[in-house]
Order: sequence, then C-alpha cells, then structure tokens
Amino acid sequence: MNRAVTQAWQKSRSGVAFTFFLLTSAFIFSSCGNGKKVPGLEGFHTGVVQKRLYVSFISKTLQWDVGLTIPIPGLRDATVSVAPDLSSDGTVFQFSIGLEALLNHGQAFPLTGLPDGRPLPDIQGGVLPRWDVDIKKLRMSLYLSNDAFGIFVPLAFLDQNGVGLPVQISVDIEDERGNRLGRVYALPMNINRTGSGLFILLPYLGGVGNIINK
Amino acid sequence: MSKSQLRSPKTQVLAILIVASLGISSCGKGSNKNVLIDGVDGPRVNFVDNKLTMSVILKQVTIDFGLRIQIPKLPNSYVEVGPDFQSAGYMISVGIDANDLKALTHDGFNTLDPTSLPGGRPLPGVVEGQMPGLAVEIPKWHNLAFYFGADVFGTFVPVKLPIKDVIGTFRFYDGAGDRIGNISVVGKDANDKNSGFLLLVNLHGKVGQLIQL
Repeated sequence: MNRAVTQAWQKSRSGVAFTFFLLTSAFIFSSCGNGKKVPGLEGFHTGVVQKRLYVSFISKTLQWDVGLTIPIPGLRDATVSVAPDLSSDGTVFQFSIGLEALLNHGQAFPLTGLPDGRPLPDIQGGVLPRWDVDIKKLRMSLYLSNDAFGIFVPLAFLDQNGVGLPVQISVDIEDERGNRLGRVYALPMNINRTGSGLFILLPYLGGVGNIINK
Repeated sequence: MSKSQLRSPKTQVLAILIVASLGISSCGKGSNKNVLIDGVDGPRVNFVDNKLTMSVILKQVTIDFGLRIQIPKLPNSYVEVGPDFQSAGYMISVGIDANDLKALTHDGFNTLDPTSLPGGRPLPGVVEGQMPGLAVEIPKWHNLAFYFGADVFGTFVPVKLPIKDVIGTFRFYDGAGDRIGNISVVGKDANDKNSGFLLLVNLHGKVGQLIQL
C-alpha cells in the first residue's frame, strides 16, 4: 500500500513539503489551485492541530437545515460533522481523527475502491482500506491507511438544466505557498447514473508514524 | 466510563436517538422555527438601540446572585446574569454594541486568539472550525465564550445537557422568521464536560443592516 500511494504521488514535487506542512501547521488554510474549481465545493481546509488531522469543506450542492456531529462508530478518536453552513445555504463537512488512531486503529478494513466499485483515482490498484459512516441518509466513506487519508462523499453535480458532470474533474489542493497537499476529485456518475461524488485524497509521504514520533 | 465504552454501539445508538429527538423538536426545512432545547427557554435575539441582544433562560439552574459585567475588549457591551423571577430559572442576557462589533469584526478581530469550542472541539458549521474569540469568566459559571469573525458574532453558553459526544446543529431564525445564523446543541465531550449551546449569528445581511454595521 505504501508503494502504491507513494508511486502515484512521488511524481509530485512536494511530498516533503506536505510532510513539513503536517508537522508544522496549526490549521493552515489551503485552497484549490491553478484557477480550476470543483463544482459545488468551496472553502477547503485541512491541517493538523495537536496531533489531530482535520479536513473540512463546504458543499453548495447539499442543503441541510439540521446537521449532526458524531463520533464515527467503530473508529476510535474520530468524528464527522455535517452541519448547515453559517454563511450560505450550503453544508459544512468536517472530519477529524487523531493521528495515533489513524495509524493504530486496530482494525483490518476491507480493501475497496469507490462505493460503486470503480477504482480510486490516482491509487495504484484502485483500492484502500475503507470504512463507511452514515449520517442520516448520507453514507460517507473514509479511506485509512498508513500512507493516505481519503474521503468520499456522495454528491450530485447537476448543472442548472439537471445535467450531471460529464467528466471527472480533479484539482490539486495547495497551501498558501503553493505546496501540493493532495487532490480533490469530482467524480461523474457511472453507467447506471449513480455513484457521483466528491473524493478527497491526502497522501502523507514519509508516513504518519513519522509525524507522531516527532 | 472508558473511551471504548463510550464508543460502544449501545452508546452510539443512544446518542443518535437523543439527537434524533432534538431533530423532531425542530421543525425542519422551511418552517422557520427554532429548535427547542430541553431546560432552556430561548435563546432570543433582538436588535434594540443599535445593540444586538441575546437572552436565554436556563430553567433548571438556580443561582441566587446576579451581576452585570463588561465584556473584555468590548467597552460598550455587557453580559448580565441573574435569577429570572418569572420562571425561577436563571437568565443570561448579552448586549453587544454595534460600534464594538464594528471595531472587532472589521479591524480588531485578528487580535483575538483563534478559538474553538470549550474543550477544543471544532465549531460546527464553520469550515475553519474556529474563530477569533474570547472567554468571559463569571463566578460559578465557566466557559462562557464569545466569537467574532469577519461577518459573524457568536456565543457559547455552558449548560448541563444529558447528551454525550454528539452535537446537533440547526439553522436559527429571528422573531420574524428570517434565518440569521446557526444554533448548535453541544453534548458533553470525552471528558464529560463542556456541554451547552452555541449560537452563531451571521452579521452579513439583515442583522448587519439592523444594527447598522
């Protein structure tokens, strides 16, 4: 698994920078770079505070008036939050997990791809250990390995005419200095017209163990 | 209770049921009515004399003293606490002056430390999970906190709630039924502390116009 993620991402110039970011940041703001945008996604934030990994973003395509923050069942020291965005009609997603729990969650999650069976993008073999969590009727998937953290949130990317996303869109996640932290993917529907959603991949080259030890 | 016990399926189901009951007492999309919190009357938000006021009555709290204090860094604003004679509960009233808000939200809020919920959990409904904030210490009443973002004013009011680990977040409406922010019912954290409710008011739009920000 280490090799799969690493090979996919060592083509990137900034793996070391990402590890440095994790070691030094205190909830650093990051944004999607290169002027490209994932439709319906705003305000992406990621960072590590007090040895906890935080990932959050706003989905404009999902509008909830009532939200929940709960511990992720079956996963130690991890929470997920889906709540109405204070400043818009959108919905804020927040994930947090202790780095120690990320490394030593003590469970062998099944190696799987996307919930609809398609392979994970930019992952050799297309699979990572996956853990699903439900909030109301929304099933989200977390991908946990020693080398990468991923989230899949099922979302519909429909334009004003109700037409779905025609192709996959991916955008690098960069910090303020332009260091590449990961990638966000807007995944179109499959041939059954289901399975569209947002996939966030944050590989940590060098391993989360190094981060904890330091 | 150990962490593993708290994460047990039974506890999780209980927590979700409690929050589900909270959800039932809210009125859903489009009804423009606020969630009802057990043991709490309010909060209510009003705009009087260029002040944003928030008042809430804690029905299950009895403290036989009252006081009014100035909020640090907000010279024209106050927190007032005391017995509520109508309900035998305890009333908390907050008045935030528009000039203080202008000074903090436009210029000075970056002088405040980034603050999350008491105990360290991220602020729900805020993508950054934290905002510039300050704590106000009231005798026998800990962890009253205020938050000031570029377009946000918020307060966390500590209340003992029979909820653990779970936070429910709802849109919050003023008396006219207009959405002006979010309210979160915050269950106890892993240390069995820091329950209460979090009210975040969006100062962009109606509220900003009413208090002439």
